[in-house]
This record gives sequence, C-alpha cells and structure tokens, in this order.
Amino acid sequence: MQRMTQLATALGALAIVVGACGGGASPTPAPATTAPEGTPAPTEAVAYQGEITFWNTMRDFELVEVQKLVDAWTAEHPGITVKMDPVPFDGADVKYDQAATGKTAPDIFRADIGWTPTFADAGYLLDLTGKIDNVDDFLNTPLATNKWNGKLYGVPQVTDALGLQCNGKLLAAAGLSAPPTTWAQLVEKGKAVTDLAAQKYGFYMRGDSYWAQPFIWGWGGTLFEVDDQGLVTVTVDSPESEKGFNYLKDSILGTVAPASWDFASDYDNMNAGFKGGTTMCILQGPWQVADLLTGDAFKDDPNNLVIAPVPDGEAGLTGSPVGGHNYVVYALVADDSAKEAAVLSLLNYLSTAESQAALASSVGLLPTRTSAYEIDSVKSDPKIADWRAVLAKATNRSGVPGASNIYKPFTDNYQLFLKGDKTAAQALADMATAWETTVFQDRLAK
Amino acid sequence: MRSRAWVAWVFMLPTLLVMAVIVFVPLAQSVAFSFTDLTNRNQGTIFKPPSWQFVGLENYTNILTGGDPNFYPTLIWTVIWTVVNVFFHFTLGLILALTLNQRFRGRTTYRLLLMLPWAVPAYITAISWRFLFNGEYGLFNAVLGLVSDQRIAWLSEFPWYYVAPIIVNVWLGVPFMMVALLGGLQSIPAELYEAAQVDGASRTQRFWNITLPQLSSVSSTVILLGIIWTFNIFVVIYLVTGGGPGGRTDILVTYTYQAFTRGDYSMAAAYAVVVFVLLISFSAVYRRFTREA
Repeated sequence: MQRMTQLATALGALAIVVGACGGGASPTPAPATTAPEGTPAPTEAVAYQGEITFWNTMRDFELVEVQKLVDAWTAEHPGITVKMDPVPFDGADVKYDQAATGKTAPDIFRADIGWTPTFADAGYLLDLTGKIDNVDDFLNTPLATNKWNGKLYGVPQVTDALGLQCNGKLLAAAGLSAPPTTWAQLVEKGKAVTDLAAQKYGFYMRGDSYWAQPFIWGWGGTLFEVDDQGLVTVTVDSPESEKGFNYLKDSILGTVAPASWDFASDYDNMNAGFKGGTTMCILQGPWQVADLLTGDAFKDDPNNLVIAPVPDGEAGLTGSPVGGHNYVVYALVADDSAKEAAVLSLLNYLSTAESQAALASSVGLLPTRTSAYEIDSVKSDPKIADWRAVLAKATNRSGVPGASNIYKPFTDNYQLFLKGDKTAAQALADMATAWETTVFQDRLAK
Repeated sequence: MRSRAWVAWVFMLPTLLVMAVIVFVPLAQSVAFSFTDLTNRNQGTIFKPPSWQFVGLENYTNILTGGDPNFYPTLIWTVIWTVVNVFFHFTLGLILALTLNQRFRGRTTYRLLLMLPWAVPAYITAISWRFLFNGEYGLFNAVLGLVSDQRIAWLSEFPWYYVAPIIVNVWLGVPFMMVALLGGLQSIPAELYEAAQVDGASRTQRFWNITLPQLSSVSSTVILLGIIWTFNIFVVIYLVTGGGPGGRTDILVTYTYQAFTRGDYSMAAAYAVVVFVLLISFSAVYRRFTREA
C-alpha cells in the first residue's frame, strides 16, 4: 500500500510539473473567423505549414483586436497557426534580447521604437528592405524609427505622442473655451479650478523624465544630436533646458499642480484624478484614452475629453516625445524561405491601411499609414483628428542603439531637481555626464 | 565507519550538482566577468562576434575610488538600512517573543496572527503597503486629512522615503525573529529562573542575567541571518519606492539590478562581488566575535 501511495504521489508531482511547463500564455479568445469591418480578405497563398510565433506587448483589450486580424489571416491560410504570446511591456526588451541570443526569439515581435535600432544593431532583425508593400505610404517619423544603417528593419504599427488632455467642464469653469495653447495661459487660468488642499488640480505633473521632455523642447532645448555616422553629442545641459525646468518648478508646481507628490505612484494617481474629474489637464498619450473614457468624468459624455497639442513654452516652441511600436522579424526566419514568405504575408496583412484603421476605430491607436487616415472610420473620428494635430507638433526621438537607457539617469536627476536637492543646472549637467559615461560611451562624437 | 563515508557523498551528490549549476557556476562566472568590460553591446550574438576583453581590476578601482559617484552613497544607505531594520526586527521580535512566552488567553491566536506577515508573499506586502502610502489616495493620507490640511508624499518626501520602506521591512521581518527567539526562550530551563527568584533577583535582573545570555547563541545566529537578508532584500525597495526619488533609496542590490538591466553586465558583476565580499568578511568577523563572547 505504501508503495502505491508513493507511486501515486510521484506521478501526481510529475503531472503537476508537466502541466506547469506545458501551460504558457493566457488563453486567447475564441477566434472570430470573419475579418473585422472593412478589412479585405487576405489573398496570397503561401507554401509554409506550421507555426508562427508572435510576442505582443499590447494590453489585453488591445490584443483582442489584433487577434481578430490574425484570425482572419489564418482563416485564409489553413495549416498555419499563429501563436500570439502576450508579453508585459516592462522588461520585454530584456526578454527579447535574451531569447534572440538563445535562438528562441519569436518570429514577429512588437518592439517599442526605442528598442528597434538596438536590436537591429545587434543583428537580431531581418532586413525588410523591399519586402514591405507600399512603404512610401507610411508616415515619415514612425518609418524612420525602423531604419538603421540605411536598411529597413521593421514595420511601424502604431505611433503616439504625449498630448494635453483636458476636462471640458473644468476648462469652462476656468474661463477657457479651448485647451490652453501656452503654459502661461494654463497657469493663469488654471488657478481658478485649483485647490491644492482639496486635491483639485489645474494640472498634474509626473516625476518621470518622459513627461519632463516637453519642458526642455518647449524652451528650445534638445536632448542629444546624432550625426550621419551615428555619433552622439549630448546637448541637454543647455541654458534653454535650464529655463524650461525652472519654469516648471517656479510657475507650475505649487500653483496649479502639487509641489510635492508621490513619484512612485504618480502615473496611476494622475489618471485617477483626471478620470474622477478633479484635475483639469494632464499630459497623456493616446494609449490611455480608452481607459480614461471609463472614468466618472467622461463615461457619460466622451466629448468632455478634449485633446490638444502640448502647450507652448516660449514663443511658438513646443515638443512632445513621439513614441510608438514596430513589428520586427527575427533574423533567423530567413533560414526557411517558405516561413519567411508566410511571416511577411502576415506582416503585410497586419500593416494594410484597413487593418490599421480597424485598430484605430476599436482601441484608438493612431495608424502609421497616410492612407489609413483617409478611411472613413478614421477620418470621421474627431479624437484621431485631434491626435494628428498633436503629432504634427511632436518631436522625433533620435534612434540610436541603447538610447532608451537615457531615461533612468534622466528621471533620477529630474526627481532630485524637483525635490530641490539639485539646481536645474546641476541636475542637467549630471544627467549629461551620466549619458556620456553609461549610455553613449561607445559612440560619442569627439 | 570510514568505509561508509562514500554513502554520504552519494546522497549529497544530486544536491551538490544542482547547487553547482544554480549557484557555484554562475557565481564563478560572475566573478570572472567582473574582470572584463562585458556589456550587452559587445557580448557577441549569433550574428556578431564578441568584442569584450579582460580589463583586470579596472571595474573595482572604478567602484572603490568613486569613479561611480552613486556607489558610496548607496553603500552608506544600505548599511544604515540594515542596521536600523535588524535593530527593530530584533527588539520587536524579542518583545513579542517574551510576551508570547507567557500563558494567557488567546495566545495561540496571537501567535498565528503574528505569523501572518511571514506567510504573505513579500511582494504582495510591498505592493499593499505602497498603496497605503499613496500620496493622493492612500489610507495614511486619508487619516492625516482628518486632522490636517497637509498631505505627505510618503514615498517622495524626506525623511519619509527612508522611513516607509523600513516600516514595510520591519513588518516583514519581525515574525521570523519572534519565532526563533520564542524557540530560544522555551529552551531556557525553568530552574534558572526559579533559582534566581529564590535569590531575590528582580524581573529586570532576571532578564539581563538569565534570558539574554541564554538566548545569545540563537540571537547571534538570527541577527547574522537578518543582516545578510536585509542587506540583500530586493523586493521591498524595488516595489515600495522603486529606488526612491532620484535613486536615494536604492540599496546595493537594486543598484546592481539597474546596471544589469541597462546591459552593463561586467559592472553589475563587480557590484555583486563587492557585496559578496563585504558580507562574507562581515560574517567571518562577526562569527569570531560572537564565539569569543
């Protein structure tokens, strides 16, 4: 009897281990076999039979829409399964880096635009020059983030930029008929709706460097310059940047925004306050709009959410960081030409104007094709038109391998400046030094 | 007996093999890498040949001579963090153990409740406390709001960004100390106390002259464990303050993690070796000191 129990326990343990190893991604929703409204049926036949792996960093509600497109493609290509793994955005680049070195990288990966040049430089990505349909139809800035050393290494999926998002009712209470066009106007009018002790804010700032960038560009500063050879000159420690930083601290914080706030949780707090209707304006991207519209301030009246470009700092100067994501293909896919053809077919299908429009109308993500903006569902969406205006005033992020590492020392020094531990000049100088010694040390222009 | 020694080795072999793969080999590799300039840019991939080289003690001189301006402040805070935490772990653990050593109603319930912090996974604790400390919507500010107009940004304002993770870590660490000390207390023979009472010793005298000395071997062990664990506890700092405003609350392990995630593998390895050497030397000195006493 004892032997039987031991055997049963051993088998049970083995079953648990096998079950744990076998399970993987969260269950994907039941496939819809009809393509979403407006997308053409994918037509090209491909010889490949088997699996295509796809790591997607999108959030759940966005993934569902992409899954519909993928399902439409697989319905037309029997014998091919697309295994789409949801991967959390934070740390996905580290994960891909390790997988690519270990030859286990997925065939398609949704990479942030900041990661693409780094992966291209490391040799992980398949050269897509000449293999993408209608390349010229793509918007310049998102497409440029896929280029490295004269070759194309990815296809832009979505683009975004930080915009000024405001609560229409609070704007009216402050005496504004439209979102403020300059920071000075925001400060002056925002005071009417601000009561710091009661947690009513004209503006809510973040202690994160990504959000601090408009305060450098809006005063004429720049972060760094890249020359034709890919060599970098760090330019962030300039009098213009100092001016912008000081304006933020002296005029905005403590007047319309809290002077001191919880940095660790400020993203969630910012969203919560805005959704709750106690904050007039915030800087936020299109990725959050679907969530913001579920808040008390907007769920009954989506038009209460007003979107505008980032306000000007000094006369006519403004800037907003352009973000976005690209689809990239693992270089080793080229070893099997049939598989490569299949992957490219899927990629091209996902990147048609109609597919992008389907994503735009369902989850509000901005398409990267010019022709996508002409499709009715996109053209008639006022929010997307607003975001186009935001993008028109946005600043390109220079694509240098490793550039996404600037944000940690940037955030650290920026927070110390906000706390008063460092002056703006000191913080910017230390930031520049950190970039020169830990981020760009291999490619500094002399 | 000597002829049976090989049996012991056979039983130990699987564990040693697993430990070799999981602990010893990576440790040796880490030490080896700390003498190079390996980063994720020159490590070489299947598409690009590696281009890193040996640089000898360059990483260490960089760290120890202040070439990395954040190292010494982080080290100082890590030491302060460890000392303050272990002090509270031990004193609170001892007080609770002494209390639970008495007989009173509901003692078992209290023992179970006090084990709760230990039972809950550390990262859940960290995240929950982080929400309690939330500067806008957290419980502490809600309570504070009842008596004052001012809200405190617990995780971003001095000195609270130091105090908050300490509170969380003390909450996490006290049960372990309490249980260990309780065990130690229960192994003190009652005759010692009876004899002391007969001799007319007061409670305080009994505590200082019987309880503490009898607990010394347990205490020295748990304090050493507490020091090593607290020095290296990653979850609390990472999830509560994230390294704090501008890296102020980073301890050496979270700092090493940042070096690793930006791809500076050799520097991260060097930091790890420095931490290892520090802790090993401290343990050796500590052991010698407590053995003499």
